[in-house]
Amino acid sequence: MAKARRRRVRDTWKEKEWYTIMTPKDFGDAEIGTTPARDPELLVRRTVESSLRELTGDFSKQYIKLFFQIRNVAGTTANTEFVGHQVTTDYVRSMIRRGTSRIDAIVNVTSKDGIKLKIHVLAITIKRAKSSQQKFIRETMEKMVQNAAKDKNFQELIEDVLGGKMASHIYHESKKIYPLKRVETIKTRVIEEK
Amino acid sequence: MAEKEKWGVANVYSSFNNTIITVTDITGAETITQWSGGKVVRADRQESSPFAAMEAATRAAEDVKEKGIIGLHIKVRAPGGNGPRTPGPGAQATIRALARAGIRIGKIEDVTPIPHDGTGRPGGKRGRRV
Repeated sequence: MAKARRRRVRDTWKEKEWYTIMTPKDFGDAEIGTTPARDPELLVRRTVESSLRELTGDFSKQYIKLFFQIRNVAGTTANTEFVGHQVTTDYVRSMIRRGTSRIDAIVNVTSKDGIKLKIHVLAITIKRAKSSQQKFIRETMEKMVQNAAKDKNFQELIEDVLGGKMASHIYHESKKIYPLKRVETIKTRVIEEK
Repeated sequence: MAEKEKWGVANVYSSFNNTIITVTDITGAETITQWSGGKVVRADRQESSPFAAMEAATRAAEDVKEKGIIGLHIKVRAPGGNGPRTPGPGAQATIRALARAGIRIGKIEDVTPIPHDGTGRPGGKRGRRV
């Protein structure tokens, strides 16, 4: 019986074809990898993870994970769309120390071209901040993310988030309230597309 | 990456009771092979041992090579949740065995699920009384 089962498994594997996964245009139409499937329809909605280092070659950006979801298949290439990013847990953990405050701001924004996003910004202070200061920092962070999203389209917004531009803007603005060690956009998620 | 180079993901779940290696494609949707410590040793208490993990990993590596995959990214995971957050004894052994079996190792990442606040740990207020 074991033999029969084994043979069946082999057969389905051979039926499968390999499809190459491509990043969306905003990310330079690069190749992420390959995935097998029996039917091209089964590919849709599969999510691939890739790091920013693999796409840009920048070694300092290894800790950023990008998620792409397959939307349509043409021939043997599968086209994807950006669905979010995340910073690795060990990177976040290494930033947080004792005696500092961690301030999280999770903001729902809509970009200029009508794509809804959730952006998670993390700020870390040098010393422990009072809760009123934390609250104030959180408010300014939220406001700045909202404003940044308002007059940018999706691609520009993502570039700002991944390139660290948004984080550095927030850093320079919220530093006035309480000395900060670090600001980082640790997570985004596309909630609703057009 | 050249066209022939196929990569996969080795999802290693390493607890104190067992080590489970699930090799999938990079999307995680297609399973390529599945091996565990329990499949290679007889005694239950040895399921989590480094030896069992090593054995399982070498066999997984064989299957992987047979299917034409040359490299694996590794996602190590401990039980997490309200349980222990450090991977068990099989995790190290698995990675080493895979590398020794001639498989290229890509990223290694810890993907232990950590609750933002969940249920309490078992044991109650006064701890586990043995």
